[in-house]
Amino acid sequence: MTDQSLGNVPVSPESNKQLSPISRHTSRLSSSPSPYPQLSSSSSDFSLPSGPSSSDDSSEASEDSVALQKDLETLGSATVVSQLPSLPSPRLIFEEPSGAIYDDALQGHDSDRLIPIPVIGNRALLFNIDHIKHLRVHHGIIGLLSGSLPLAPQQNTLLGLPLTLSIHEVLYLLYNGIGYLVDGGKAVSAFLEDLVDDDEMLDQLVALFTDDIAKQRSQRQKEYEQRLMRLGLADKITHSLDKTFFVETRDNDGHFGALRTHLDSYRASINAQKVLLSRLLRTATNAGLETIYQNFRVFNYLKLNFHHTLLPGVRFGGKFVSYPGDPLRYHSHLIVDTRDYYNEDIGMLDISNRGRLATGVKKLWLVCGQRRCKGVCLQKTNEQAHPEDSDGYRLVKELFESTGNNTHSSDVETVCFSIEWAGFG
Amino acid sequence: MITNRATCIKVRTNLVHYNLWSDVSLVEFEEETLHEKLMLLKGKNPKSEEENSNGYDYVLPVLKQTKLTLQDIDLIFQHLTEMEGYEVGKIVLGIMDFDGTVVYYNIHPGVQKPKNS
Repeated sequence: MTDQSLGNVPVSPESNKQLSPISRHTSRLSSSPSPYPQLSSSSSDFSLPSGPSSSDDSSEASEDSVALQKDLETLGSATVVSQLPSLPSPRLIFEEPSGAIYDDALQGHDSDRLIPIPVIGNRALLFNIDHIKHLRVHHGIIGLLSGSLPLAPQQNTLLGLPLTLSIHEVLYLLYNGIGYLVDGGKAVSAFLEDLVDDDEMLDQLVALFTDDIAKQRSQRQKEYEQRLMRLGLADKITHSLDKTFFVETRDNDGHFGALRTHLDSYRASINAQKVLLSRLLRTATNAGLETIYQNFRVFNYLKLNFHHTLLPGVRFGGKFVSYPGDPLRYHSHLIVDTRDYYNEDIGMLDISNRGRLATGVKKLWLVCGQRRCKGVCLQKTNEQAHPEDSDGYRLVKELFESTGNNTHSSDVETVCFSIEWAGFG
Repeated sequence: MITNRATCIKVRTNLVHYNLWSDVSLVEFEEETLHEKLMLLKGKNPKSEEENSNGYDYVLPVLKQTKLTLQDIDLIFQHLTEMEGYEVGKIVLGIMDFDGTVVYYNIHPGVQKPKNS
């Protein structure tokens, strides 16, 4: 049961087997990092001394860790520790599945209160329900719930954690100083390494999950008895321990306080962020950087200037569909596509197709492009008052400026046209 | 080349005799950035619900194979607004196929709200 409950924590099968509490007596790691709660030395945060890191990025793991290692050498472990002096030692485990440890992250987004975005393999996956809520409510970032148990295909219509973020959402969060990237696999492995070293903590963890099952089982029994009572079958009530019930999986990483230490260590390292972002970009889409840039600009523009929420647009044959608020509360208003402002033909057939379709479903087709400003750009391009102070902003800006396109974010503005069928002809 | 006189005349015929527009006239101007002469039709749509812009709509007649960029549309809006002295909030694009079929699409500048949602 513990295995299943932990199954949704982002660890590869091997490392899970090796490090899961159940098998702790047989698999104590010989090379032990410093014991919890002292901050472990920074190098062990990123590269495991033994064992595989993560199965799905094994080919890249070595080069990534080399880059990270190099980066950390320049930083020095002393720097990392000294940057986190004010952090109270987090408790290992939180009884309530809350993001209590991250409550400070929910109050805003100054540079010390960023949301960690774990990159696992080549995806950005969020496991903290409070972060997901915060992003949805305050930033209109919806993502895609994508967690399922492979053996329960009926769950495929109703997915749970983790939440996968699209490349545009990740770029938006970085650019607007809301989040920072974290190597999810390595952070969790490092956390589990701390864990296997501490019997007391492991017992706490096991107790938490055991209690949880007992609680859920008694709840289930109670419901079953009530049901029989209502039907007047009180004499048929049995007390059986092996009644099947749905286990609420503890897949919210807000439970694991000590994980924060490992997630935090990524914040200061801009090079680690670069490596992770390039990993996301490599497989996020087949499109080139230029296309991603165009689409991201539009995504950013609609969110900041109109407070729209954008979802992928395949439903209506566009790049995005745009909602005037939360997609659960509103129908979408716009089907969004991008074109190069100066050179790309919009296409009469596209106007006809999309315009006709959009009008048919009570929407507008929005075509957007980037125009060079004649004077000073007045458009809002960032959530932050001083975006230059944010690492994420600089990272994304640098990334797109390195593509060699001459339309820097500061001297272009987004221009849109709304197209619909005229109602005749 | 965005517009030409022949397309203009055919679309005008369609507007006047099929869609029963009134007061249809030709608006011509030289667009310096694009280095070409543009022609638009200005007229009154009998079924128009909007009461702004003096009741006049502007139609840009084009062929199906015409290449049109965002910049072209942007410049046309700028020019019209300058010429007419008020903010033109809509251009009707009249797309003509070789068989004489004409379809019309509204283009509004900026992000608009759909009418019936």
